[in-house]
Amino acid sequence: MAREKFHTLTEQMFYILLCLQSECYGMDIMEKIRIMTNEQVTVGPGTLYNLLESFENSGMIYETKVEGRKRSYLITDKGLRALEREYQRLIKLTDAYQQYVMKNGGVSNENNKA
Amino acid sequence: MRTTKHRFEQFQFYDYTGIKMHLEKMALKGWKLHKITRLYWEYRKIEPKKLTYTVTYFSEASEFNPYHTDNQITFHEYCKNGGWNLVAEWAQMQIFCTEDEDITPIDTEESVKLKFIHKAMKKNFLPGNALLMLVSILQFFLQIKNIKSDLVYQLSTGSSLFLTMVWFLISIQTLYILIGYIVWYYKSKRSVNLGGLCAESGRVNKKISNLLLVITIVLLVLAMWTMQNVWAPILGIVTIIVVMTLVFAIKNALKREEVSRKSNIIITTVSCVILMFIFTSVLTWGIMKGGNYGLHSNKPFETYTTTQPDGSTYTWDIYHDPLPLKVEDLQEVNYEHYSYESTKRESFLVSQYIARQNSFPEGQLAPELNYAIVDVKLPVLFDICLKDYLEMYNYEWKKPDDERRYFKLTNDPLWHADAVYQLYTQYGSEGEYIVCWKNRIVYINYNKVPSVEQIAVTVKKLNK
Repeated sequence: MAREKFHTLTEQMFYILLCLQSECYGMDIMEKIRIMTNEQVTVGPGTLYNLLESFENSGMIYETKVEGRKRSYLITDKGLRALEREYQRLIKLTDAYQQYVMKNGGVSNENNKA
Repeated sequence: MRTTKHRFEQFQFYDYTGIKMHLEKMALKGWKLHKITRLYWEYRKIEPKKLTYTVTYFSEASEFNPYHTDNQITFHEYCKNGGWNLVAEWAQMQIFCTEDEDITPIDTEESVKLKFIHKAMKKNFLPGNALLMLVSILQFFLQIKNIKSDLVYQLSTGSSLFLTMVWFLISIQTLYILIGYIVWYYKSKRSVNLGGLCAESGRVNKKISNLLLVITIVLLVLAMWTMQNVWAPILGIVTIIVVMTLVFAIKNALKREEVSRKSNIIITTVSCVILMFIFTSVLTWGIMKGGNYGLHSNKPFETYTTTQPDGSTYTWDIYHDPLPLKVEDLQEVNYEHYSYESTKRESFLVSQYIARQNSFPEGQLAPELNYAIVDVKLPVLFDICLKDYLEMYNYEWKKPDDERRYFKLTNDPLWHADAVYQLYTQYGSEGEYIVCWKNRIVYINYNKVPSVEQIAVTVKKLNK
């Protein structure tokens, strides 16, 4: 069976959707993510444009208005569900990691040896 | 001082790494890309400096668009906002550059980059090359079939070999381009799925492309070198260049007139077909007309008119080509109106010399002679050329066995040859022979079985 599109989100996809929980101009997303992540995550203009197009085609975001060449977007319910699913997946990963660390009493066996 | 430079660049359309590296090197030498056309890339002189280039692809872009689409303008603005300036375009390929060394790249996610490159390639790079490959493979096999149907004639005709070679090289080039892209795409996909980067499509690719180009040029020059009518393929190539230039001019004029992409594609394609038809017709007409005026032959000829018993007249062309062996060398004859005609074809594989000494029907019947001398330059082709002659009467396969003509190996020592075949019918031997001397095959038809002396004269005249 074909895998559902955007079943898991990459870091950049996650932040773009996160930004679009409030209406935002496409072009401003790059700067917003940079500030939000303290420059830990940067999205290139080509990647941003292509992801916005893919998200829109998949019904995860929709265009709210066009002012000249500036287009603004907002997340849809489908996008919110994808974001929520990714959040739950990350929590599961974090939980698994924490349980493992608690059980072994440290960051990892290798680090314990060091 | 020169401020503009034009270069022919041999890059695969998807070789974004190779193009990026090349443009960055050119900037360090003081040349910045200004424009890409079908024939050349134009560079403008700048102060030598470090520039960072990015080659990306936008599927909506097209050579036929009168202007950038809304989405393309938006894409360019996103890039400009990110600090990247558009430098040049080539169909879907968009080339940006920046002087900022710490800038965020245009493509920051490999899976998205790969997906959109592939989307752009599916638009015209892949279908265009696939179509060209299919057409060239089909043409190549048609040429091979044509060669097999009349082997020695076709192998010694440069134009036929030239065409076969052209289609073969186009097939190889397009096959290489398509396989190269498919391999790159699946390698990149595997790598990206494992969290890695797209595969590099750089130096080896360019070196192989250049090597293929050099082989193409060398083979074509070699094929043309030995052709009798070198101007024929040259005219063909000039025709293609003129048609292509006119087609590009039409496309660009339509773009300037802001004709829609769809209409531009239709009008340009129809113009291409019409122009090809007109130029091919003019070329064919010119060749035929030239033939009538004796432009393709240096043989002066006269005419000779014979009158039939019923009073009707026929006019014949009389040639006076020098022949290495004539009827007069073999026996005494008393006939004044012989036509001595020879034709020579030569390629770098085989040369074929055909000689014919004809008389004309008027009361007495003068003896005639015809023969062919084939020199095979590539030893591996000798047996198939010989087979072509030995099977010249195979078209009689429908006749009953005892009515068919066939060549039989006799190895008659009188010929001092490596092999001698003589024609046989149910009534016995005939005056037709195929004789092999080293790399030479001679087919000769005396019209009656020759004497020992006549064979000796033939050996002296036709054996190298």
